[in-house]
This record gives sequence, C-alpha cells and structure tokens, in this order.
Amino acid sequence: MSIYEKSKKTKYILSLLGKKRSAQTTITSRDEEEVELEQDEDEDLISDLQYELLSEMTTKELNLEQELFSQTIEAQRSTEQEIKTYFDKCLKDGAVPHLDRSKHANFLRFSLGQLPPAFKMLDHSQPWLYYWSTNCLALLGEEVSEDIKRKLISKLFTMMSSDGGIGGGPGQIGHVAAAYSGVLAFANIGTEEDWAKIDRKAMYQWLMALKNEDGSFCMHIGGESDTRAVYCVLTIASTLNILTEELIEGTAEWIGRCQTYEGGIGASPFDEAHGGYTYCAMAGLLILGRDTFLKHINLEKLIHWIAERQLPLEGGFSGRTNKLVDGCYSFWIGGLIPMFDVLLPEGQTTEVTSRAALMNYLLCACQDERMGGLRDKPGKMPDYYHTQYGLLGVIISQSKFSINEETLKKYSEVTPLDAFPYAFESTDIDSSISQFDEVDRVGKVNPIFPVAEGVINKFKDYWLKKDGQL
Amino acid sequence: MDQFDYSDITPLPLVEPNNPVTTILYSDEYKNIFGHLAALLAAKEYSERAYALTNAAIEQNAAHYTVWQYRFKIVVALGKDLEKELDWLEEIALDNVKNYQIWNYRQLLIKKLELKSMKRELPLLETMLDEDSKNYHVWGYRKWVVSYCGDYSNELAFVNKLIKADVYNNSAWSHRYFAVVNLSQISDFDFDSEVQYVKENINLAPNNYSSWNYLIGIHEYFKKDLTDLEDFVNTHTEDMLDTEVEGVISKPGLELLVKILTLKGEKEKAAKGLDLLASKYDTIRVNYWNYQKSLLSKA
Repeated sequence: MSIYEKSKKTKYILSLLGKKRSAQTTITSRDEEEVELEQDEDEDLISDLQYELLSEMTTKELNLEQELFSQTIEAQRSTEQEIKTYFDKCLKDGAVPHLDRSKHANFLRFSLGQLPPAFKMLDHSQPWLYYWSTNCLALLGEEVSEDIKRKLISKLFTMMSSDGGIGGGPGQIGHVAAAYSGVLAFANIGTEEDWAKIDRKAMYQWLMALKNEDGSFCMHIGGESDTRAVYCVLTIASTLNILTEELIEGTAEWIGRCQTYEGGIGASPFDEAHGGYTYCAMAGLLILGRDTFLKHINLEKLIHWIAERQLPLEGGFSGRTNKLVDGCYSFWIGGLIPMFDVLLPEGQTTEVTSRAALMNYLLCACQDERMGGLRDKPGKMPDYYHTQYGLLGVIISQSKFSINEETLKKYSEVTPLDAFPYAFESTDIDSSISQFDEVDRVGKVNPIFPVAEGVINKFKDYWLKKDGQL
Repeated sequence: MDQFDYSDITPLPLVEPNNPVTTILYSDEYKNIFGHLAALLAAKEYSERAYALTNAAIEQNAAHYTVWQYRFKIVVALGKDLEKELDWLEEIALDNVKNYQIWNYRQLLIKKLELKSMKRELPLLETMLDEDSKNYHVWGYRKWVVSYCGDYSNELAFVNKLIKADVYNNSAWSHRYFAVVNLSQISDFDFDSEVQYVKENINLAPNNYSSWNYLIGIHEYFKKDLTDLEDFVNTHTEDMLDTEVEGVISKPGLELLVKILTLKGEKEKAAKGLDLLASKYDTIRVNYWNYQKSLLSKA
C-alpha cells in the first residue's frame, strides 16, 4: 500500500471513530459547554489537502547517508524524530492546532511587567523587548494601554546615548541593533510629539561615524561590522528620513560582495551563507530599490539557496546548509519570499517554497502548549525573539506582496534614494494555498521593516512633511 | 568589588525610577556592578579599579558590548600588557562559546599589538571549533585573522581534518572556499586535484549539498565548464532519467545533471529531470522545480 493510500485509510478510520478537533478553550459553565460542543460539531476535520501534506511530510527525511556517522547526521535525525512525534499526534487527533492567540498574547504581556533576574541577559538589548512585545501584540490585534505605551517611550528616551545613537539600556553606548528596534518601537507606539524629540542630527553623525571605508558599518563605535549592521543602519536612516548619498556610498557594492558561492549571503565577504544575514542583506538592498538589488545580487542563485533551506520533514527552514530547522528562519528566510513576489518578472511563478509546509511546522511544532509563545523547535523554551519571527512567518505565509506603482511614484518624487520599501502592499493569500484555517489569519506586515502595514509609512510621512518634502 | 575603593562613586540607576513597565529585576550584585560601571564610564575614568570592575561585569553578562568597549579604552589608556589580556580573553572565550564581543575584542587587541602571527591563534581556534564545529563567530574570526596575517598556509590541512570528522560540516566547506580562492592568488593552484578531493567526498556522501555546492562554486569561480562534470554526475544519477530507481539516489547530483543538460541545450531531458525532482525525489520543493521548468521553457 502506498503512503498516500495508507494516509487515506488512516483518515477514513479516524473519521469512523468520530475523532474531531478538540475544544481549545476552557469550559466554565454548562451553557458554554453546549455552545462549545455545537461549535465543535461544526468544525470540519483537518482539510484533505492539509492532512495529505502533513502525512506526506512525516514520511520524508533529509537524504543524509544512513551508514555514515557524524554530528550533523545525529543532530538531524533526532530533530526529525522529535518533530515527527508532533506531526503524528496532529494526524492522530485529526487536527492541526490553531494559532493560540490568547496564550501567545499572555506570554507577550508578561514581558510588559517585571522580569526575573535571569533577564539580565537582555540588559544590553532592552529596546528589542519593547519592539517585540508591542509589535507582536499589535499584529495579533491586541490592545496595549496608553499608559504602558507612554512608559515604554519614556524608557526609550533614557536609552538615548551621548554618542548620538540608542543604546541597549541607560548609560550604554549606541548600538545599531538597539537603535533599529528602538526606532521601530517609536514608530509602533510613539506619538508625533515623541518623534519630534528624536535628535536626528546626532543620529546621523553617529551613523556616519560607524561607517567603514569599504561601505560597510560597525554595530557600535569600535564594534564588529557585518550585513546586519548595514540593514539596521539603512532602516534607521531611511525611516527617520536621514538617508543620504554620502551615507550609502559603496554600501550596495559591499553587500554584493557578501553573496557566497552557495547563493545565500554571509555576515561579511567569504563568510558562510546564513539565513539571518541573508535577510539583512536583501532587505537592506531593497531599501535602496529594485535596480540596486538586481545589480548586485545573483537572483537565481539566491532563490535556489532559499528553496534549499526548506526541510522535507520539518517543513520549516534551516539557516545554513546542513544545519537544523529553527522557527526564527520562518521569517529570516520566509520573509524573503515577498521579495520574489516583487522582483521576478510579471507573469512568472513566484512560489518557490511551500507555504503550507511551513505553516504546519509553525502551528504543530513551534507553539508552546503550556505558557504560550513560539519557539525554535520542540524541546526548546519559547522566547520573545522566536515568538516575533515565528509569528511573522505565519503572516508572510498568508500574504502575497506587490508594489503599488502609484505609491512608488509618489515616494520616488520626494525620496528617490529609498522609495521602494514604502510601496509594498499585501493581499491575503487564499487560505487553501497555505492550507490554514481562516481563523488563524493574522494582520498584515511590511516585509522590509517588520511592523504592521501602514505604520512605517505614517512614520516616514511625518519626517517627509517635517522636512518639507511632502 | 572588594579589591578597590568605590565609595566616592554614586552608582547610576539601571532603570528609570517609578517606571515598572518591562523592567528587569536585577540582582543587587548586578545593580551594584553595572551601576558603578556606568558612573565610571560617564566620568571617563580609565583606572585600575574601573578595569577590575569590567572583569566582574563580563562575568555577569559577557554580551554587554558597552563593557567590552570601555575595557579596551582602559587597557590602552593604562598601557596594560596586551599579551596578558589575550590570555585572560582565552579563558573567557572557552566559557562563552556563542558570543560576538569576545572575537571583536580579540580583533582590537591583535590590531593594537600588530600581531601578524597565527601562532597563538591556531590552538585557541582549534579548541573552540572542536567544541562547536559550526560556530559562526569563531569561523568569522578565523577568516579575519588569517587575512590579517596573510597566512593561509594552515587552512587546508585544518579543514581537511574537520571535513574528515564530519563531511556535512558546511562551515568547513565554506572556509575551504575562502582558503582556496586566496591561495590561488598567491601560489599555483592545482584545480584538478581539488576537484578530485571533492569528488571523493561526494562519493562518500552523495546527498551532501555542502560538497556539491562547493564543487559547483569552485567551477564557477575558476571559470571551468560545468559540463566537464557530466560523467562524474552520471555515476551518481545513473539511469535515473530512464528507469525507476529505488533506494538511495543523489538528489543534488540530479540537480546538477539538470543544470548540465540545460547548458548543453538538451531541454527535454532536463525537463524530465525537473519533473522527477518535483514529483518524486524532492516534493517539498515542487514549486521551485516547477518554477525552474517555466524558466527552461522560456530559455
């Protein structure tokens, strides 16, 4: 019997046994129970397509030679086995779990309060916490009170460094990753009055001080240089409307030098192709426009490398060749998919990965059942980083991106160096393509500056008006 | 903090007073160390007591980039023995495998010392990569220090050893590419024997993308014809296009075969290979192979 027939048969048996999606919420009263059961009856079993794909995935594994013994094989095999148990459970239950919005929201809300001493490991990255929590809550459609927003903004101002940048906490020197997340947090939860208090002149001087002769940037004064720094700098400069020819001279060329023989992009020239750096490099180049991107990147090699990152059993992405799946690459790699939507010639298929397989990984294997939040993979604790980039992976899988040519024209007239990222538009992808339940649809996002659609345009427009360009 | 007197220093608060939102509940020890440190940094004090404090701070949180930057300024201002500083750093490195700051700090020290020798770097890097053979920061540092010293002579032997231990170690293959490209610019490079080495490793693990990607990579870099590989590829994909093959096959081999057939203008056979990848051997990438097929029909 083929795998396919076997899965059909299993499904048939399950349906005879009346296995249905289990109720997700706690039943508190008799009346609610009836309602709950009624809803339950209405819910279908896992869709045929979804079931087929998931059962097919559980039969796949990475073709690594069975007879060889090495660290890579050991790690890959045990990860596959662990994830398979999650998929098998879903198949047995006859249901792929829903995105557990309320648990994830609770997990995120926890970060708005007082955090245990072990969080000292984020002492030097505090703006990230503000960005992740408020961003994810917004994308989940959850309200954050004005009071909390005011307090977060007030704290962000204590992190403005004397060097002109934003530091990871009060008294720390400026760091472009802290400044990146800080600026996106400002855009998300700040008001125009807050924005007016940002010292853009000092920020610009700081960014220029971080610039290296070869066109790259340092993370902080005296710090390391890599494609991550370039993306952070370009984001800060573009969104604050302080991006100049002088700032970006040689930068696109330098990014181009970081593309490897594998097709992905590394931290700096000759470094190994890596998911996180590839996102940074691509998004960074796209801030500078479609033409700049295509001039410096071998697109076909890049697409091949990205397609290669999706793992057959897991459905999620690995960050490098022969490395393990990790939920965060659902965005660092998955987030590159919108870029193909807008870079490949019109009429060309732009689906190069399986959105549905990725969705299975995120929903079945990455949600922490106990405390909420998303994680790298089963066996790992959930954290805010993986929650944000897993959730963004879900959103990307649900969206199709395009460039609104009129919007692009409008921005090109007023901000010709960096108009492109402001013209992204997303439409809902048909849930049958990604094979997810409509109830799991999350908000829309800008793929270059990962905040809710519209947020960054409002922020940019504020500066364009202030600078008399709009 | 008992070694020196800090009583004249008023520690700076680590958190905004009366603002409990997203607030880390630091231990008293942490607050004490970092509060004093922030005050000393703000006063631009470069002293022995500040230096001692950075030790304690790094012990608490080795990823705190501000401390590292401050420490470097102190070390330079006090004219500290930089070799001793490297010794200290080695101990810290072994306890903090996944850390950016250590390697950046090491770069700063090596540059300050103008130490253009791999002698003390080799054993350290070997130990670090032994611990975690795909550590991105350590490999990045290794590339930097090799380039800085202009000494590529140890690299091939080193990656050979790592590839022997784990032929799937892509970091080692990437490093090999870096070494080979640079070596070929300073001395004669035997392309054929390099290809032979890769082929042997592919024969050992025919489904290993690392070695196949590398094989294609060096062909492209040295502007060699990929079609030269047709016979070799065929040994791994024998008859796949014509017959039903069961058992282990080389997926990356089939991909390269398609590429070669495309280059040779044998579109029909290439399309068949793409169909097989899409429908049988690599179904998760069905979209990608269909995309390739659409390109093929346009070519």
